[in-house]
Amino acid sequence: MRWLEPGSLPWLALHEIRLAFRHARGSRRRTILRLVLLAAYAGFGIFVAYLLADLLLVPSPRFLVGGSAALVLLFTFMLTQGLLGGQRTLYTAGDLDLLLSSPLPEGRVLSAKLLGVAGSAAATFSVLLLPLALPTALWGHPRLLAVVPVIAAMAVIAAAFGIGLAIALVRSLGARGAKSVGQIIAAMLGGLIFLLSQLSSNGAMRGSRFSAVSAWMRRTGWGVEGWSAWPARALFGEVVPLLACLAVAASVFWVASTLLRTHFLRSWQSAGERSTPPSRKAGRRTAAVFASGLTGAVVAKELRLLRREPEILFSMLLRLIYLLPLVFFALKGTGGAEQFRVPVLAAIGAIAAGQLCGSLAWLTISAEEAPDLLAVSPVPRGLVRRDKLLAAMAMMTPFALILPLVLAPSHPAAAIIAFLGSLAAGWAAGLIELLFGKPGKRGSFQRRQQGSFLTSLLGLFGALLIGAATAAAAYFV
Amino acid sequence: MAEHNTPQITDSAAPPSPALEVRGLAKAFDKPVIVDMDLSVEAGELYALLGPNGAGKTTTLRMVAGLTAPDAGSIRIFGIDALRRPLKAKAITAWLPDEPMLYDKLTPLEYLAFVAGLWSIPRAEAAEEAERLLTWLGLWDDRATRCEGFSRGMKQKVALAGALIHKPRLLILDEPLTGLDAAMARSVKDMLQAQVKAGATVIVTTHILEVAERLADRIGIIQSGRLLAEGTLAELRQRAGSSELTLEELFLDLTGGHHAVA
Repeated sequence: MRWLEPGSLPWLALHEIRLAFRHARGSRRRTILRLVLLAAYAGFGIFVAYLLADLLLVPSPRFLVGGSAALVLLFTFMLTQGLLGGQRTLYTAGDLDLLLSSPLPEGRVLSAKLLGVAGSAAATFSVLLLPLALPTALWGHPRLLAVVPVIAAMAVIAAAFGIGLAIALVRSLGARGAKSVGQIIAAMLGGLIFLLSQLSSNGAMRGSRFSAVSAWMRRTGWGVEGWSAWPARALFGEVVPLLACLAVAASVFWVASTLLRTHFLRSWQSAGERSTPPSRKAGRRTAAVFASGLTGAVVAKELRLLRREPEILFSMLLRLIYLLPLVFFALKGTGGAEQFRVPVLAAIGAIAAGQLCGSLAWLTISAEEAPDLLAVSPVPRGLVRRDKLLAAMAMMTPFALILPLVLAPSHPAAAIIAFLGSLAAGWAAGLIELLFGKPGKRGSFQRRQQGSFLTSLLGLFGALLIGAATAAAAYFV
Repeated sequence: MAEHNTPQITDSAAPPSPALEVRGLAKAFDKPVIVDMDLSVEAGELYALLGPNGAGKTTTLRMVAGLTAPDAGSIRIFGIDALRRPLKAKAITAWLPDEPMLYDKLTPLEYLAFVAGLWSIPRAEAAEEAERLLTWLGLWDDRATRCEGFSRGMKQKVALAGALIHKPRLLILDEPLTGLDAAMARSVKDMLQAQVKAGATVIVTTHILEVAERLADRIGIIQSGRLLAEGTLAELRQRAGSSELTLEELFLDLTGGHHAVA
């Protein structure tokens, strides 16, 4: 950074990217592991390049479909990163307090933030894509080097839309609402393509998001013909589409920097306002807020906290959409045979309940915000943790009731078994979290799997086991 | 008054237990942090624990509160062995760190309801005490506002109400005045005196020597994990051989701080 003029846009943007990298950097062991994996991945990329060396890689309809589908998926992921980056920018006030109290124009600060978010998104996906693309490009397909500017252009566009969306949310919903809704949208964007692919497949099993998007493109011609194919053509090194992509990215960047400048400042100001409106229940009797006994107090506290952070519950529920293929399989794949359909549905209900309760137990047990308060209280640790598990079960129960209620009119016995299976799976998942969970922060729910691989694995295994038992019981009933 | 007429041979024969009695306490992380610490705080006194940064004040108090396990030594709170019977000791102790142990998404009233649940205070009694504390601390109008929007001072007040709701006999506060404005600092000081007047024992760490000088019955000065000196201000002056010294001068003299400045 020394060779850049301090305070200039590139200097600020590099500062942002450096911070993003430091934020992502883990322990030394993890860094070494990542480097080893990256080297192995690059080796695989070289092997692929060797296989493709003599292949003619031209923008034929088949390759265009593949390229367009990959770019659509890439863009949704980058948009999620852009939105989350925008939210971090607005709510991690320490950094902006410093930047905006300096004599730098706020437009430059916004541009730097845009480039910072774009840079970290581009870096993330470069790690995933370049080890495959670069060896192929260097081994006889030099036009594929265009993948680098295309990723950069998409990252800039995604960052501009992401930050724009974050700002629009703050301006329309206020700081608090925008934070929750923004996180919900970011979570939805991650699962959107998957959900759409499942819904559009009419119940038939699909291999992956990529194949679903490709099939849709082949059907509609989108991304294969006309303007919509330009990003994919740019990917294959066609000069005019590539220049057009870069021009669009530059224009979007310029428009976003110019248009959002005023809104950015106002959004940051309102995001920084810490005053919150009094709750509507201010008038209720004081005693009504107090619960009887430890269990009541713990469950009430956990329910209140979850109710006030709906985005966390939403993220947890969204994880369950990955069970949709199983649901479709139960509905269609069993050939409509009633005696198989109900047990499979009961098993799915139990597995979903297990997954959900595991996540909720992580929230109540491992993501405790004031562990010292509990540690200095005159209550045995085990008792509080047991009550926290109960709280997770209480939160899970309304969702665990949905499937049994649907089944109850036609299959009352199976409905009871499905509910009992759900409770058992929830309890088992909660217990695993209680025994093996690692402390974390509530906000880091999406990243928790990295820290508790064993817990996740055991949870999944337990849920599958109980799911199978539930299915068997429902079948024999 | 009946219990006073009942003969209590053991009690009258034995001296009353100190509020806190620490003997031979030791703790090392990478290097020794607390070394053979002896500390005694009598019931009903306000004790100020002073020391330079990194002297071991917070570690000592965290061990007393049951948050950090000592490597050696004993801790007794009103005669209760805090290492063998931690729950009994915790039931009569309150710990207030400089970073309030709060839930941002809870309102002050909901927070107090949770803390009261942890200390198993009957519902009606807890509600009444919560009303009294929130009114006394000027938080009643904000009782239904989530703590996330509060200033540091207000958060500290909520945490203070949480520490007091179970009427602790021993109140331990770590740097309670950090980041507070003059008015808030004054009300915390008033609260500390009110607690002592009501019969509680207060142990406080502070960097503001004027607070210790004005409020504390006795002062302990620690450095590098050892208790350097202990006593009333007069006793500390006597030890230094000058009745004119301020606490700041005494502190710098004992800890060698003035050498560092010079």
